[in-house]
Amino acid sequence: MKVDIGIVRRRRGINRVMLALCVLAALGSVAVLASIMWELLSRGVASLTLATFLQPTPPPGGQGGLANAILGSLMMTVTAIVVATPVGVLTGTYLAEYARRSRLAPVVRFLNDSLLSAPSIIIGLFAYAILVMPMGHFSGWAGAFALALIAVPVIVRTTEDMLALVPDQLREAAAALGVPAWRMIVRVTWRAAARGIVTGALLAVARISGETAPLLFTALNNQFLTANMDGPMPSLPVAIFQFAMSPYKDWQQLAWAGALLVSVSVLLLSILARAMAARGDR
Amino acid sequence: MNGIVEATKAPKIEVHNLDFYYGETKALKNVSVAFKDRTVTALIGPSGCGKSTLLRALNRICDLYPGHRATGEILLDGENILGITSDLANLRARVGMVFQKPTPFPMSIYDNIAFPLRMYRRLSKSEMDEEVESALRRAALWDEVKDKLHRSGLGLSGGQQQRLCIARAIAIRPEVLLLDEPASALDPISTAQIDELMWELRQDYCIVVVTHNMQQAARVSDYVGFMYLGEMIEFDETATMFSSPREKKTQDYITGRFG
Ligand SMILES: Nc1ncnc2c1ncn2[C@@H]1O[C@H](COP(=O)(O)OP(=O)(O)OP(=O)(O)O)[C@@H](O)[C@H]1O
Ligand SMILES: [Mg+2]
Repeated sequence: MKVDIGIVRRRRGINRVMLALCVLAALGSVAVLASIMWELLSRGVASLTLATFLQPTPPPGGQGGLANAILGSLMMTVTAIVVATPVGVLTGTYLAEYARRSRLAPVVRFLNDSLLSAPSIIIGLFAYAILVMPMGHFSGWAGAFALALIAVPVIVRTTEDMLALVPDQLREAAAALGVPAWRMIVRVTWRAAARGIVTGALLAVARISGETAPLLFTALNNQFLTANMDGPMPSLPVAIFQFAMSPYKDWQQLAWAGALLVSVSVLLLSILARAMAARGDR
Repeated sequence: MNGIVEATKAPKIEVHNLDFYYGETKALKNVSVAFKDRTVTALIGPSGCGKSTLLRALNRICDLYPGHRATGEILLDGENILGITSDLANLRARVGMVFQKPTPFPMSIYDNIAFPLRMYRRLSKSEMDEEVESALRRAALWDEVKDKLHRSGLGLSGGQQQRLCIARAIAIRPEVLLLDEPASALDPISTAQIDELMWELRQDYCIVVVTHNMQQAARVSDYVGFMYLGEMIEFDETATMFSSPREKKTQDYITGRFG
C-alpha cells in the first residue's frame, strides 16, 4: 500500500497539538494545587503551636487555640460516620445484591445520585428545618445529622460499585452450596469487597470533614470547649470561616492553622484510602 | 477404565422433555435423559450447545437470574425438582456443583469447607476438624495444605483451588455432583488428579461432568451424552459412543471433524 505522506504528517501534527494541550492543562491544575498547598503550609505552619491544640478559641486580641473546634469537629464527624456507614453499606448492599431486577432500585439509585450532587447548603437548610427549628436551638446533633446526610450517598455509591466488582461466580458457588443469600453476602461478598467498602467510608470522612455550610445552619459555633452535642458546637471549618473573615490579625493566623489541620487530615485520609484500595487490588 | 455398567444401577435423575429459555432464546429443546446412580456421565458437544444450561437446571442455580425458565420434568429420586418453590437449599445440599473457574471464597482453606458445612450440621470443633480433613483427603488435597489450613484459599494454585472447591462440595455429602468443565483451566497433572478423583467419587455419587476433552470423557465416564444446538442427539455407554455411535453427527464430533 502506498501511504499518503500528507495524511501521516497531518496526523502527527494533530497528535502533537493534542499532547501539548493535555500537558499544559495538567501542569496548570497541578500548579494551582501546589500554590494552594504552599500558601497553606507557609502560613499555617507558622501559626501552628501547641496552644492551637490545647486552648479554646480566644476573644479578639486574646490568646487561644482551636481545641474546642477540633473536639467539635471530631465529635460530629465521628457521630455522623458511625450512623452513615451502616445505613450506606446496607443501602448499597440492597442495590447490588437484592434489588438487581426490582423496580425500586433505579429509583433509589437516582435519589442517591441526586443527594450525592446536592449542594451541601441545601442539606444544611433541610437539617435546620427538621431539627433546629423544632428543637428551638442549634446543636451538635443537628450538625452530625447534616454531615451524615452528606456521607450516606458517598458510602452507598462506593459500596454498590465495590460489590458489583465481585464476580457473580462467587455468588453462584455459594448458592450451589445451599448458602442462603444473607449469609452469602455477609461471609462472601462483603468480605471480598471489604477493602473497597472501608475505602468508601474513609472518603466520606474526608468529604464531610471540610463541610462548612451545613454546620452554619445546624451546629453553628461555640467559643467554649464543649462535649455537649445538645447545644451549639464549634467546628474547624466554621472557625476558619469566622476567623478568616475577621479583621484581627491573630484570628486570621488561627484560620490558617485550622485550614492546614483540615487539609492535612483530609490528605492523610485520602492517602490511607488509596493505600487500602491498592492493597485490595492484589 | 470403563467397566461393564451394571444394569441394576437405578436412575438418580430423570429429565423428561426439558425445554429451557433464557428470556426469549430457547437453549434446550425437548431434552430427555437419565443419569444413573454411582456412575459418571459425560456431556459433550460443541460450544453453545447447552451443556452448561442442562447442568445448571439440575440444581436450579439458574434461578438466581430473572427471565430464566424451564418447562418439563427433572425427577430427582422421582421428585420433580422444577416444582420446588421453597427450600432450594435442601435441593442444593443434595445436588452439588463445581464450576469451570475455581471459586474459592475469600476465607481460609479450613473455613472454605467449614462455612458451608455449618449450614447443615452442628458439629463440635473436633468433629469439624475431622470433616474438613476427610473432605480434603478425598479431594486429594490434604497433603498439600495440611500445614496451612488457616491461610487464605485464594493463595492456592488454580488446580489446588479447584480441588478445594470439590472438597467443599463433597463435604456436605451431596448425592449428585455436577462438574462443569472442572479441568479446563488446569495443567495435565491437575487434570489427571481430578479425573482420578471423579473415578473414586463415582463409588458413592451420581456424577455428571461437562467436558470438551474427548480423552477425559473416554477415561472417566460410564455414559456419554452428545448435545448439539440444544438437543440431546445421542446418549449411550461410553464404549459404544466412542466405537460405534448411531448418529453421523456424533461420529463427526468425536473424531474432531467439527466443533
Ligand atoms: N445467561 C444467558 N442469557 C442468554 N443466553 C444464554 C445465557 N447463557 C447461555 N445462553 C445461550 O444458551 C446457549 C447454550 O449455552 P450453554 O452455556 O449452555 O452452552 P455450553 O454447551 O455450555 O457451551 P460451552 O461449551 O461454550 O460452555 C447458547 O446459545 C448461549 O448463547
Ligand atoms: Mg458451558
